[in-house]
Amino acid sequence: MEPLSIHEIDDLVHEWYHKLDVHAPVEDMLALLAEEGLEMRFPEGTLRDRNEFRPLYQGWIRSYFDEIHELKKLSVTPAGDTSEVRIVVNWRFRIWNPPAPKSRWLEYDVSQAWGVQRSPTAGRAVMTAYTVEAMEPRNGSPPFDEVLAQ
Amino acid sequence: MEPLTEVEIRRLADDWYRNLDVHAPVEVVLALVAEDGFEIRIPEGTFRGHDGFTEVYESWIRRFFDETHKVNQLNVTPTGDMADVTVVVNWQARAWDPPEPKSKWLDIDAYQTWVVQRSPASGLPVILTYTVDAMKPMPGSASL
Repeated sequence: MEPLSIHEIDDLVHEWYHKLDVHAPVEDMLALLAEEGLEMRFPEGTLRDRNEFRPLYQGWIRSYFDEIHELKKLSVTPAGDTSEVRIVVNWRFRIWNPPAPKSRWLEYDVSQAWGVQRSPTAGRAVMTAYTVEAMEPRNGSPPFDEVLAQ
Repeated sequence: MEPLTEVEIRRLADDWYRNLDVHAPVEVVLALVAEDGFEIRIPEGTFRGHDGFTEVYESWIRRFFDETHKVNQLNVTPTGDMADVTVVVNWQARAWDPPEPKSKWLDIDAYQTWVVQRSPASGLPVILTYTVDAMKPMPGSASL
């Protein structure tokens, strides 16, 4: 298959974060994930199948809103069929636990490592690996573990 | 019983809206309404008594957050043992319906009429009837 171009990977990264911001239908998110050999490591746990992403995503879009993902760093290293992608994305969002009177506006710089391949079926760039390596709190936000524990 | 004063009624309004802003326990807010004959007429419908108010209040605090109420006008007309009160209050709040991506920002001037009486039990002014006459969204506000 044709090697992935930087432009295709850049499009995938921007598409992923835009779809997170607009709470796109889960099927639209799944189209960006490899059908086979997928591994995604999140603070919530590790997934190895596209279908395992469904409940995680449905939880996200019921927990986080007013989301803004702003890409701060993106570097791509071709490695055979797979490109290694390193990302730092600034993630700002609101959470609210009813009946609390106030919501919380939170901000993290999230370091991620992705593996990206060309899908043999769709022909487009898809994620095969996704690892959240660090979440650096910004502007007084608590460690993300505390948010997950709520 | 001693007639109600404007100072007492202003204090009641301040307590009422502050409790709404902090989502105070419903028991705290119920202390500000009449034990008998309370009625609240709002866009959601008409609700009566403490049970009716509890139903409304519990739904409010699960729908709205980041609330601020600011009283812009308050006029008191004494009517014997009671007082008619007209209020214009600016209400700002957010609402979010999961899984929508964005919350709604509300900025609404609410026009209200209250009838206030002195509680025979506590001696404090309490709201007997509470009517929302109109809700006027400010520029930039979402609709309810």
